[in-house]
Amino acid sequence: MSRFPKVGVLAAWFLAAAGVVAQDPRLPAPKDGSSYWLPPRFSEAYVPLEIDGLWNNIMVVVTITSIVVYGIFLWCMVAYRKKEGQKALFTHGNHTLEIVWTIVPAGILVWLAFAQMPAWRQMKVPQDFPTDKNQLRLEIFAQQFAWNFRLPGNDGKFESFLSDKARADAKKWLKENTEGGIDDPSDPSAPGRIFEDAIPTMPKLRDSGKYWDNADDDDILSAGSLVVPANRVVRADMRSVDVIHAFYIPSARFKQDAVPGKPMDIHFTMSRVTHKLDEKDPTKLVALYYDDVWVDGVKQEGQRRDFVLEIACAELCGGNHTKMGAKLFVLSESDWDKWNQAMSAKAAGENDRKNDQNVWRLWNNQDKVRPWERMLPPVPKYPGE
Amino acid sequence: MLLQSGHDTHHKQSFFSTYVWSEDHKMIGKQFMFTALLMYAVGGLLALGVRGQLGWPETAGKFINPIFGWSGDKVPGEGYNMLFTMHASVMIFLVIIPMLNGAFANYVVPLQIGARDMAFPFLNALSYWTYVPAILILASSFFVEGGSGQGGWTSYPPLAEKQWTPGTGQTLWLIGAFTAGASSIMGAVNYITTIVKMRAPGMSFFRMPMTTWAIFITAILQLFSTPVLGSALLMQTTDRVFGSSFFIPDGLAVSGNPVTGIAGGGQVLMWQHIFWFYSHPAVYIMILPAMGIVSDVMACFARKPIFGYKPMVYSIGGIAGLGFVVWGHHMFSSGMNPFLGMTFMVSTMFIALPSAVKTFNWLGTLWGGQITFSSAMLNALSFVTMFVIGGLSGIFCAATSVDMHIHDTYFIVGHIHYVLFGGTTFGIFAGITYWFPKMFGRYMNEGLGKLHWFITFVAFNCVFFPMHILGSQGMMRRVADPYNYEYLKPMLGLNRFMSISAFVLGAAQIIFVFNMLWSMKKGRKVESDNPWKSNSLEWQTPTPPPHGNFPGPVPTVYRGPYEYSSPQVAEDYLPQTTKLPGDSA
Ligand code: HEM
Ligand SMILES: [Cu+2]
Ligand SMILES: [Cu+2]
Repeated sequence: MSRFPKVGVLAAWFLAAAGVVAQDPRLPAPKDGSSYWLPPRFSEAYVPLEIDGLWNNIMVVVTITSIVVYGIFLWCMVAYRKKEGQKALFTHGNHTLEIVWTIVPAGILVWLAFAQMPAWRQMKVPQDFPTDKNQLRLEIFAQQFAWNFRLPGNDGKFESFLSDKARADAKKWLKENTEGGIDDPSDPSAPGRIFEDAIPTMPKLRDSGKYWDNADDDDILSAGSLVVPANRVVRADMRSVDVIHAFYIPSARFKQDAVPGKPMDIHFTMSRVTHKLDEKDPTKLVALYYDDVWVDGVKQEGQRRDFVLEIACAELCGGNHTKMGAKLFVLSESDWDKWNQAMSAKAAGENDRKNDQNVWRLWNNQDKVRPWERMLPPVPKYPGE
Repeated sequence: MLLQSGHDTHHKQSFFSTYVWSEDHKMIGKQFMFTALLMYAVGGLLALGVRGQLGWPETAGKFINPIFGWSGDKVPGEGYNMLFTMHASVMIFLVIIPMLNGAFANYVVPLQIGARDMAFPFLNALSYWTYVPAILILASSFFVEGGSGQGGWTSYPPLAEKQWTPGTGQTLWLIGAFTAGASSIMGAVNYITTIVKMRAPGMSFFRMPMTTWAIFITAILQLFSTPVLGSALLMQTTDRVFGSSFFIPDGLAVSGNPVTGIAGGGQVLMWQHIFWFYSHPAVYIMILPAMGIVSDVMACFARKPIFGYKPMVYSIGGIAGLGFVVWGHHMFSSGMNPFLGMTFMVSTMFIALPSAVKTFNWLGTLWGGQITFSSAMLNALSFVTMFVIGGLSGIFCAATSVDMHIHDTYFIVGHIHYVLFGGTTFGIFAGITYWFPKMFGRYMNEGLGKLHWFITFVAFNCVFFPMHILGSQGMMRRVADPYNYEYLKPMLGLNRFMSISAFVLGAAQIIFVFNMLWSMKKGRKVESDNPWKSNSLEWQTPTPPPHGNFPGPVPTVYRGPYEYSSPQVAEDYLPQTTKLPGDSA
């Protein structure tokens, strides 16, 4: 049989394949982690780089140790099987050996202890946080079973949740409708009892709708998706309103529990852009990468989906814990600026209160001071506060 | 002066006082052993439920839901939470701790130190009869409205508080754990007193076998840490029952509605501190006795003295001491003060050291030995090899910044199973096989023993090693359906493989239990009181040992327990009781 048809089929197949690629503007999702074990990394910031480096170093230590230990072990298994009539080596120990195998691991462990401190400090100690001026500040509210995000919008400030009138009305409503369960925070006889911001949770109040109007509010609220610029430090005030949750970004090696009653000051930085803006609508995002589709453990040949980074809840938080994920979109800085403007203008323009209620009712002011305000020059008071 | 309880006179025992309310440490030991084995089956089945769900999230509910009376086709999230919560609670509070510090401590310690019984036989029986209600209470939680505990074995508030987990199941969990703790404290008091006061003439501390040493130090750990857990459990109980708010801060919401009717002002992290102040020592409570057991078994079947007996003892002591100052390594991501985190990291690094020293000493014990691969020995050797993996994975967890990636993922689940199953459980198999002839006068069947060991060893690694991969890839623990996340969808295949291996692993345990029960009646009879040719005292008394343990006077001890292959005698063992010319107690 001549060779020609084969080559023809091959060429046709090749052209077809190229055609598919040409039609799909997306690229295959990057799979590169810094090691076989770790998932792809989308952050080139100091901390995740350091974590991956440490991981690899520990892996080297552990591999060498295993080879030595299992080597000796297997040698013993083979060489010292029982032989009739022979006696074992009679020894109770060896001081030199004992000292060596105490000192050597001790040295390695001390080295490890010191090697990981810088990353830990930059991750957790506010004084050691990155000092970039252009940090993006946002607020994260965890709730059973959703992640809610609030970005300050164009004016760079977080607006109050309720208009002044709404507050006054709500207090009145509470006084009339609850039996002393909820105290007025401005009442000096009941200090420390704070439920003012749980007000929107009162069903009747919530449903009346009119309390939500606050014209100068341009904060961007979203549940379940977070849009951040690449290469800017994202600094968040994270709270939980019910149980403990944990904010986990595997691709940035980032994890922090959201602890009720204890606001957390956190930061992370994403580096690899995953989305760009839709050319027509700057509030819409378009994926840069595609990834495989898996159904019931089987890869679906020929199918593709938009690739998007995921945020997970890593701390057991109840029956739907498993569904408490969120999506993370990373834009280039200029794209993000445009997106921010568009979203913020939209938020200020329309009365989006109905949508926002869900996020608002999470707000509780166990601690009115956002953590970074203790470290940085005071920000102007929010209207209505 | 040594104290001896008066069991010299043999009086006739009724069925009730022999098998039910027995104050004989040997019978209590057996009671603990069989009860814990029963619980091992329960805990194992719960684990298979967990694995079933992770392997077949769409279909597992069809099989699991009818058992528990849950509605729907898929396992409900709350149901899944119950499965893993009760799996861990049963395994920890009702299997491992009672097996090591109930069964082995009771059966072996008085025999090994040459005591006629425990110092407080009544308290000893009470300890068992407190363990039984603990089981009943925990088990009953499955039958109440809202189901059993579902906050994980760690039961972190606020989730575990009644506002978020209503129903009596969680309260029963607290009371059950409290009761198990009480049983554990009673045992600990007994072991410490017995070991300090009732050793045979010549049995100095540094002539005690490793099992006794390990149980001694474990008992001290239990005595100091368990009451602290008790206080935490009580506080959460009063939160749930009487409406206090030790662990509930102000301003929280339930399904978006504010929590009312409580004082508030509680501290969420306080629970974690108190809980881990117990539960870190508890992980050592769950392994130190097994380390003692495998040391004894390995010396016996390698016919060699333990390499570095004193360093081994000091390592156990070091682990116990450091064990009290490392609890914060479970809280690296909890938001506690980062400088506190750093100190916990340093202390945790150091606790890996005695573990390393022990491993090297076990290797030293094998070196130059005359090794017989009996089924007891195979299990003991598996302890060592698997514990190495568990210890090394601990280093990843101890490195604070690395832990930020793997905390609360399957990596941790891998770590704990390599130490607790790969370690402790193999140690338990080794111990049962080793002391079985003394308990029942018959050997366990070697063929079945080896078959069980082989399947268990292979299946164990197939189930638990991949957990490290899943965890480092970012698969969280305690999620009912990980495949809700796109990035975890490709992991279903691996999970299914692990689940299948888990069923094999579970089935293999039937072999062990069958072997035990069958061998009790039909096993090969021992030809002597010292079938393994061991040195320690439990083998120098009739089989099974009589009431009062030693006929006639208590034996006198002339040397340490590990004089295997001593050049002083022709045989390759030299019992602690043999008096050679020139020996004095
Ligand atoms: C070699 C020394 C060891 C080190 C350095 C070590 C370190 C750690 C660390 C840092 C954690 C917390 C990880 C996390 O949740 O992010 C942990 C968890 C744990 N370790 Fe170890 N470990 C060691 C040995 C052991 C041993 C011997 C046992 C038990 C027999 C054990 C049992 C556990 C258990 C049960 C947990 C998990 C508890 C839970 O969250 O449910 N570890 N270990
Ligand atoms: Cu969660
Ligand atoms: Cu620990």
